[in-house]
Amino acid sequence: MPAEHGNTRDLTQTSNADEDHPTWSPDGKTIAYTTDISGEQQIAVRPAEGGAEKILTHFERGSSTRRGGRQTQSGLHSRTTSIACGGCRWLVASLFRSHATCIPKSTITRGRPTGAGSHTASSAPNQQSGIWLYNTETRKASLVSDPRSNDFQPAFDPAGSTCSFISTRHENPTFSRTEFNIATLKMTGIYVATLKRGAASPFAPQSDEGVGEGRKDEKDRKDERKKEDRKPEPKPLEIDLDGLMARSVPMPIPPADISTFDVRDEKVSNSPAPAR
Amino acid sequence: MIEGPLPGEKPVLHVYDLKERKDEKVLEDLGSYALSADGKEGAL
Repeated sequence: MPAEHGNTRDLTQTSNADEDHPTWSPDGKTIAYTTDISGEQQIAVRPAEGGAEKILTHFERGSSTRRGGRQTQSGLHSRTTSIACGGCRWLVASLFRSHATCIPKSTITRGRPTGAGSHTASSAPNQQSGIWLYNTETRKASLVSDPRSNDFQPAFDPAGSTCSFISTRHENPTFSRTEFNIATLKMTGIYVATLKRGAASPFAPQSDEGVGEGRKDEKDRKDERKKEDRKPEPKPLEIDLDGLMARSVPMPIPPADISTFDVRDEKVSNSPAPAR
Repeated sequence: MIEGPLPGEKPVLHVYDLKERKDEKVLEDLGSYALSADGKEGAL
């Protein structure tokens, strides 16, 4: 659908497939989506302007849900990304490089191998979702979540410096007035972990002390503005896995029922569901 | 009877600016949303 003028276009022109979860590649040239054209949900890519479909996966029991879309965005410029898939296995992919790998179940050593999605909900002994990262070069899968945490929907930021995710870490027990039950409402928040050890936290304390704007001349300010306007170049991710979750901090937003979010440049969008 | 959202509860689209460290309510009463590749446009 053109953003301003023009008609809606049927990109895939199929009448016999359930196609869903579309997402753009960062350069806007390719669209990834799920399709069951082969009988099971698979992940496919197609030129955004139209063209042949390329199915990247061949799951026997289909793939997982929305996470595929968001993670494929990271896939273009990262070597480490992850997507949940059916059959309690992992797909890890740099999809826009047309490179996808399934990790056999046997390589998953503990916890629930999922970045999100509900397909693997019953596979973990404690029913908690954890974030795994898989390095497509070393072919090594690493669980970075604490097994006690319920973390899901990981997403790298476009600059490749942080990994954000949703986690149900807020405890908001609400007592019923009519029975001895407790409901936990609005448990989720968005958390941000810096990928490199020693990197500044996005929510580190700030101080204006000793920073006099008046001491900068106009040239310095222009240089700063140019630097801020420059888009970061895509580069392979570098991740210090040790202590990754210890570096995660909550985004300062109220607890809510967040099921999905998007990271674009320095903007994180989310739409919490109302309490029911 | 359990029926729909609690009174006063509405789905709201929030955008948090990591640079400015500010959360902004962009839109109320939406279903789902999707962003364009550059994040400048959205479909509701």
